Formats: sequence, C-alpha cells, structure tokens
Amino acid sequence: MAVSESSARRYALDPDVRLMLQVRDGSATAFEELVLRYQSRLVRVLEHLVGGRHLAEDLAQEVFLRVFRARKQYVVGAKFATWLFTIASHVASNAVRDRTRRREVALAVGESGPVGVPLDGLVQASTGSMPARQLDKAEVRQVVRLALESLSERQRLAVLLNKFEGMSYADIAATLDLSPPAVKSLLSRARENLRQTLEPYFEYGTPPPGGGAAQPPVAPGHPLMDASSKKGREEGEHGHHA
Amino acid sequence: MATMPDPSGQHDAALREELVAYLDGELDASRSRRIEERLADEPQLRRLLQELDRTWSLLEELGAPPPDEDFTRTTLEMVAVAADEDVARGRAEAPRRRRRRWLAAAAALLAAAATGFAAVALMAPDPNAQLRRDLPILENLDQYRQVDGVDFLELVLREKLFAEDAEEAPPAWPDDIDAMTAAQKEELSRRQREFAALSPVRQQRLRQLDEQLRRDPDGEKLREAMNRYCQWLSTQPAYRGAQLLELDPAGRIKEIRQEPGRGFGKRLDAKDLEAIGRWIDQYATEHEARLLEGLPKLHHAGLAGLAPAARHRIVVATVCQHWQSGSRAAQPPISDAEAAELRARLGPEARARLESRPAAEQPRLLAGWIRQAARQQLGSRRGEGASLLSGLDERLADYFEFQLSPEERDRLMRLPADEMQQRLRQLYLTQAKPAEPGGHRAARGKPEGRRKAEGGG
Repeated sequence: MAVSESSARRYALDPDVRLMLQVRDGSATAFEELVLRYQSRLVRVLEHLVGGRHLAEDLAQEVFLRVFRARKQYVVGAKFATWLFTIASHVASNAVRDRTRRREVALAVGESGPVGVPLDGLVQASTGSMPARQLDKAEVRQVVRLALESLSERQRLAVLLNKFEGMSYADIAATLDLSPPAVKSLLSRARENLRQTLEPYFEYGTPPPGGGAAQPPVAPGHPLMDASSKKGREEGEHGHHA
Repeated sequence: MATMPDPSGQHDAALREELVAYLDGELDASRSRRIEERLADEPQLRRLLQELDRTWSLLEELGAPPPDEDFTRTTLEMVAVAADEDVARGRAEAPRRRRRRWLAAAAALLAAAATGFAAVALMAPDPNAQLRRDLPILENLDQYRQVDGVDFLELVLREKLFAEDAEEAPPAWPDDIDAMTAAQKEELSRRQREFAALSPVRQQRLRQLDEQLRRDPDGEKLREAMNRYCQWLSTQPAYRGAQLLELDPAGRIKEIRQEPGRGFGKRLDAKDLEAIGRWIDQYATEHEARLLEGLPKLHHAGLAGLAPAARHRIVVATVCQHWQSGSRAAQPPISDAEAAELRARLGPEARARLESRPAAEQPRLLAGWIRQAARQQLGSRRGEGASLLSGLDERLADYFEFQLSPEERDRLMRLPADEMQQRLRQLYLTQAKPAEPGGHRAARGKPEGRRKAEGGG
C-alpha cells in the first residue's frame, strides 16, 4: 500500500507503526507483539486515570479490541503510542462518565471508591489516627494517588502521559486533541495543584521515605484541609484552545 | 509553608508555565537561558522550582504491577473471537448484499434457503477435512513451534546463520492420509492432539507461518533455514529452544550469534551416531553403580526390582538424559581415555571434521555429537516402554509448556540455564509417583498437586 513520504519516514522511525501495518494486513503475531509491548504501559496509565486495577484491565482490553477493530482503517498518521492513548482516553472518559452517572445515586448511600475519594477523608485519617509519625511507603502511595485523583481528568491524563510515557507536549497535544500551548498550561496547572497538595509532606513531615520528624503530615490551613480550595483545582479547565 | 509569588495571578501563571516547561525540557535555548537567569537572581523562584520538581518526583511512588500472562491470553482470545465474528459477519453479509441487489422477493426465499445450506456445510465441517488442511502444519509441527514466525527465518537467512550444509530433511509424509503407514498415522494423531492443546492464538500463528512459507517466493530457502536452525537446536540442551522462543526474533539472533558452536549444526551420519551410541552403552556399563546412585531416591525401590538388562537400559537412558539435557554440572564426566576411545570409534570423515576445529572447540563439538546420539537413543526407545526415564526430556518440555503456571514458568525462565533445568526436573520429579516394580513410566503429577509440592521447595 502506498504511503506518503512523511508517513514513510514515521514508519521507519516508529517500529510500532510497522507492527500496526502488519496487523492491518492480518498478522496475529504483530498484534500479539503490540499487546505485549503496550499492555503494562496502558494498564498503568488507565489504572491511575480511572483509579482501580480491575476496571483498568477491562478498559485496556477494550482499547486493544478497538485497535484491532480499527485495523483496516489504520493509516500512518502519528506515532502509534499517540493513537493508542487517544483511544484509551476516549474509552476511559466513557467509563468514568458512566460510572459517575451511577455514582450520583450510589454516593448518596455512602459508597466510596477510588475515583473522587474525598481528600478530606484521607486527611482526617492521617491527622487523626497517626498524627506524629512519618508516613510509610504505602501511605505515601495513597497520598500521591489521592493527590493525582484530585486533578481533573484531563490534567491527570496529561500528567500520566508526561510522567510515565515521557510524551512531549506535542504528542500529548495530539493525544488529547489540544494545542501544545494548551498542554503547557494544563500541565503547569496540574503540577501546581500537585505541589500544593504534596508539598506539606515535605514541609511539615519529613520527606516520606526519609528521616524521622514528628509533625503532622498535613498542615492546618493546607488546601487539603480546605474543601473550598479544591474548586480552584479546576481553574481555567474550560479554556483550552484546541 | 513556602512563601512565593501567588501562582494564581496572571503574571505568575505565565511564569509558572515557563518554569514547568523548563523542567520538562520544552523550552528552546534562549527561553531556557532567560529562566536560568531569573533563577539565579530570585531565591523564591528557585524554591518554587524545587517544590515543583520534588512533588513531581513523588509520582514515582505510584507503582502498578505489570499485567499477568492471563491478561495477555484473555486479551488475545477476546480479539481472536472478534476476528472470527468479523469473518462470520462478512460471510453472512455477502449473500445478503447480493440478494438486495439482484433478487426479487420471491427469488430471495430460494437464495436464503441456498445460503442456509451453505452455512450449515461451512459450520459442520468434516473432521478429516480439517485434518487434511492442517496436515502441512502437523507435518512440520515441531519445527514450526521452534521457529514461531517467518520474521525469524528471514533474519536467519539474511544473517547467514547456520550456513553450513545441512543433512537432508526427513522424507515428506504422503499427501493422502490413507496412504500413511500405521506409525505415521499414530504420529499424526499425537501431533494433532498437541496442536489442539495450543492456544487459539498460537495455532493461528503457526497456520500463518505455514501460509507465509507457502506463499513466499523464498519459501524454499526459508524452509531450509528452518531445517538448519532446528538441526542446530537438536544439538543443544532441550530447554534452549524454549529459552530462545522467549526472545523476539532479533534477540534470538543476537543470542545465537554468541554461541561459539553455531557452525556445528550438521548432524553426523547414521554410522557415527550408532558408533557413539555403542560408546554410550559402554560408558553406562562402566559407570552403572554411580549413575544408579545418582537417580532420585524416589525410584530406587523400583529399580531394585528390575532385571539387570532392564536396569542397564535405564542407566543408558539416564546417561543420555544427562548429556542431552545439557546441564554441564550434571553431565557425567568423560576421562581422557574415554574421549580417546570415542574418537577412535568415529568414521574418518567425522574425525577429520573434528580435527579441523581448533583444539579448544573440539570437546564442545564432541559434546554436541554425544547429545545428538543421546537424543537418538532416547528417541529409539520411545514407545518401547523400556525405560523408567526414557523420554523424560520430552515430558519435561511438555510439563514445562502445558502444566506449569505462567508464574512458575517465568520464575524458571529467569534462572540461569543450568539451574533452570535442574529446578524443572526437581519440580517434575517431586510430583512423580514412585515407579511400580517393573513399571516403566513415572506418573505425572496432577496440576492441582503442584502448588503444594512447590510450596515446600
């Protein structure tokens, strides 16, 4: 099949594009190789995006299925990873939307789950039951997870793609269908939110895996303690320029 | 808490974006320099940078274990089902489209009936038809399984690995199943069972390999490359094939390149193999007591009850087994006198081949030949029921492939080769029931007993 010159260049540069073209032409081996290459990365991003291992694995399978179903229409247009994570982003969005709809009812009877867990609950647990000791590794993970979950879905995805996939602003822009300046601003806000949420662990406790100061991990007056500050996290979220 | 510019302010938001982009390596040289100049002058900005950086690095605490093999398998199966559905849909839609286009309402009924008939014929195929279709795959099953994809063969060919002339491929089976000998039919049915036990994805991959080999203009050359590779593999320890299969084609080539004995793939002719076989027999006689002692305690009672001739066969099989399975530590040592005896038994051509190698390589080549002869010995005893341990290697491979859990397989694959083989044998043997006196085969442990047995060691 003919490909344009720039596509051919991409083809040569991205071995996954080559695999995907083999999938398009009916190679099961190539598909398996793509699954093996991407499953861990995909599940990791989805797990932190939707908060929940089982759901993440289900969604990852859905993503792979969509990749397979779309194989005949596949054209060399972008990096394979960008295409894959674009699909993942849609699949996750739909899942979160569906679940949010269900949770509007469920939350009224006190259900709690990974997405949208109120941070205040964590803070109470941390300050109330373990006021004067350093956080252990599991607790640090929990704090970081909740800090991540406090971001908007878009910020979270941009953070995950940047941090774990090492994607450039341009690639994140292609994945999220935004302009690179919009990604720059999105990531800046996300990192500022993370800084505000997590910095007190450095300020008032010791750095989590390190030495042994005896301060509460979350300072009074910190945004985590202040429910109103959470609204600020979404600041500017609607102003993307696509 | 840090005191620093209010990041919500318009000005500071822009500065913060620059700072974050600087951390992400997204600024060009001049903008980076500007940020660096400001950082040098403004302690507050430096502090903001540090905080952004260290809170960002906390994200590394977010672990996510990789999905297990089960995830991969179910994903691939799910997709295989989707592929089947696509095919079925395509098949169902084609006649419908034709109907819409060409037929009047009355004629459509007839066409539908005809389509129904065709569909039934398609969905209830004659089992022999399937067998006939799979015949080329079954005929080459062992080789296809070792090779696993045409990409690898292309690389073997391109890299001119195993370029030495190989022995002739075994004679092809007759195309007509009815024309096969009883032994061929039995072998065919064994391979059919083996093929059926593979995952649908693996089956599909082997079918695809067969298809590609038949279509490829270089198909014949690729098949020759496959034969040479498999012949080389037959001189290697048994787990080697499985180990190589874990790598992608390029990785396999790289690994094979590191084998100094790569050029030794050409098999000996039958006379030399027989001669080595007789030498093995003699070796087994001389070392019988020590070899018997080395067998798992589990089998000692069974061995004591055997006639001397039967016991000798077991010893021969054991020594073959040790040489063939390739764990160097477990290989029975060969004295200089024994090695000289072995050389003397070889035909002139084989001896010349041996002596054309540098002295340092000769023991390695000899070891490869002993392995070939040992494999042949084990093979000729298969089905005879002559030995407690004959065919153990094959059963080990089977056990490794079909009975171990993916986690156990992974664990084994991570061990150094020698240890892996040893551990696999240990796992297998701890489940085997003691042989009945006069009985020949150690019963294989049931999978459900495996975890318990494993838990202890």
